[in-house]
Amino acid sequence: MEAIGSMSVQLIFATDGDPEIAGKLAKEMTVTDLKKLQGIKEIKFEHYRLLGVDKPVILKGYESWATPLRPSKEILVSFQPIKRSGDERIQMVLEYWQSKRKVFSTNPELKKGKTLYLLGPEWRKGRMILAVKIEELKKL
Amino acid sequence: MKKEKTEELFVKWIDGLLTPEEEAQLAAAMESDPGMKAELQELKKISESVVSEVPASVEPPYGDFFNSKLMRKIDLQIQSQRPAKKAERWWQSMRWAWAPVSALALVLSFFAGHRISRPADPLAQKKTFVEFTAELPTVYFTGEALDAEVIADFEGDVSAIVVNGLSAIRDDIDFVTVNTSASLPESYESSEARRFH
Repeated sequence: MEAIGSMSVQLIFATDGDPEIAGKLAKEMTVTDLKKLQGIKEIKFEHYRLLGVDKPVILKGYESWATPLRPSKEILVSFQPIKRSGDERIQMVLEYWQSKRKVFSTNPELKKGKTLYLLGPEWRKGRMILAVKIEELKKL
Repeated sequence: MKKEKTEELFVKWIDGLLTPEEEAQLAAAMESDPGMKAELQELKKISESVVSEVPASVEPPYGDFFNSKLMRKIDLQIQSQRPAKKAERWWQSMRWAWAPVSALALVLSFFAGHRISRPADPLAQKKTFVEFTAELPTVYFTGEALDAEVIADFEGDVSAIVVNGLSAIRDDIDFVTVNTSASLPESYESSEARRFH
């Protein structure tokens, strides 16, 4: 079982209304993260709150899971590396699970240090956003 | 009949390129599996709707572009599953990969319409259009009527995927206490065991 890197999966609540509606567990985002989010027109909202984060290891050849709302399993992300493209890039299959049911999957190529945002379902007058980032990647 | 051969016959049937001998082989396969014929009819309709989205003035890069891209999507899906999870009727996995939404997303990504942000950076533009679209991810849906947009940044890397049409999460759900009764795949328990035990 070879660990080839690690990633972070954040679950973010985005809204143009009152962000307090996300509840007490929701935290403010860092300035850096806010700038990144607001830089993409399609996911630009007035307010963002971080609901949870998980930082699993990436194992070569294995399907692994991120549980950003641990201990809750309501929203999960499964991931499996498919292909490396150099030291900085990796293609993965990402699956979004909600209420223990797979909702959609995609197969993006991710670059280390760059965040991929998945704009997901509505909740409490806002939208859920998953932010997936490769934190570390073993050199080839 | 071997799976790869059947796949080949499917694609040729959709394109109307079967020889008489191949038509007989496919007919025999359909006789042994009645559900297959209905599925193939559906796939043919999807293929025709994908082709109808192609402007007459633009040629795909090569004759087999759409079929080869769609079959590549299927291969990726099969590769991502462990053998225990493969559908009993393996060709049923094609239904998921061939969903009209994903096919249209491929067409739309190919023509880089308003859904895709084209990179403005001159370095990124050194990629050919085929290379750029070949690198765009595809999005697969499981059952709901969904729509997806893929957004690339100025370097040509995918920065966001917007999925519209998902069922909303109930407002009264408390993520801390909610516990859906359905069970998760074995791979989830294995993943947790590797991390925490």
